[in-house]
Amino acid sequence: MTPDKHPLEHWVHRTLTSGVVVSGVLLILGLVLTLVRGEPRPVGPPPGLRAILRGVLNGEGMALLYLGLLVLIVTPVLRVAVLAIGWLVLGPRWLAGVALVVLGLLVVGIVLGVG
Amino acid sequence: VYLTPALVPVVLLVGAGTGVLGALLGTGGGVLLVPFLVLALGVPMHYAIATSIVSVIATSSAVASSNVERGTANMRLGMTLEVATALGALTGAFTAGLVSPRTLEGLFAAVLLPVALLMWIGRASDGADDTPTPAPTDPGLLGGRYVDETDGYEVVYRVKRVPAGLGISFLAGNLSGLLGIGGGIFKVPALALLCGVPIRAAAATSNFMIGVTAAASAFLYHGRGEIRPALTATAVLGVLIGSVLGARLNRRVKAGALKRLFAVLLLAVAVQMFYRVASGVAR
Repeated sequence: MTPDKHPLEHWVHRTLTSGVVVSGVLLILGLVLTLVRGEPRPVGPPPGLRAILRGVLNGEGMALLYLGLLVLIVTPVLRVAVLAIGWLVLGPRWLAGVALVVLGLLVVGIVLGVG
Repeated sequence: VYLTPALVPVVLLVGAGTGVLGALLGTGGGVLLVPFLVLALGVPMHYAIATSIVSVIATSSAVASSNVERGTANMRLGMTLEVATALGALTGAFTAGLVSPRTLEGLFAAVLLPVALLMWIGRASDGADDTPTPAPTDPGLLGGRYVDETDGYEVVYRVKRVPAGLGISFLAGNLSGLLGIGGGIFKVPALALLCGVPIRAAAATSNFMIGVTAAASAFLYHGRGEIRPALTATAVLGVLIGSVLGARLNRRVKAGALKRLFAVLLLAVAVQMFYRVASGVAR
């Protein structure tokens, strides 16, 4: 597949692969740190993004796990965004509209879940 | 539920097993992962479903990436049907938050029955002709074209009965959000038989879609604290390893007998889950 001939496929491929690789690395690191240090299991509602990032900076395994899982969950959302932009620029425009509807539904999920 | 270091290799192995089976049988591993977590490890049903949903995202993203590259995943059709699957997943995940684990187990067992049946008879659709007759030269708005790897010919197809495809996609998304399964087992035959999509493209497009479907519901499970980080991370890593292995094995293994064995296994799992629901073990 050449990027010039199939730019959208290329970007979707790159988005999905990057998401899986980044989250995979974070999950392995987080899992190793959590198990080696015997970090306590989390209780109560999940931490917010700011708390997760603070935990990552402090080298907490559990925070790395949460970040890895969030990166994985957000990867398909980014793929929809990439296609929305791609179709908006390259056409057909009506498909960009469809992608924006899907993106809207995913945002509803985010708001209902963690909003 | 506490993932002890001793359980890590077990969950990793089971994740890998479901990943391999998913790649070989063309079904998401959720139908096996959820019952294993619940029946063998005693993980609460909602946590098991959440774990499966995140694993589905991992498999879809990893596998769809190469299917998009090959051109078998139809992104235009996939995105259109994702409107229905995402809506279905949101309502499914919302409903799951309202019902008891016992109800979910009963529903899961009930859904396993048609899954087992489709797996048993699935060989008929495997042999379906990839070339629609008469072969169109223009794929239309939602159709597609790809080069068949086995014979090197270009396959061109149009999509029929889009409203029916949207209806099935909503139901598949709903099951995914409610029970943590990918839903491809229902979507792929429907896309092939109802909408005229060649089976290879139907499977690749379904796989492309389930990541977005599962992501729509995953946020709700995350918000309810049902995604247990260490358990889910271990299962996800196992499933990813298994998917890679399975994709390599896929070209060498004949899936026919394996599918029938898997169908029997699913039936046995369904019976055990029904028993737990009836006897009150599941609450």
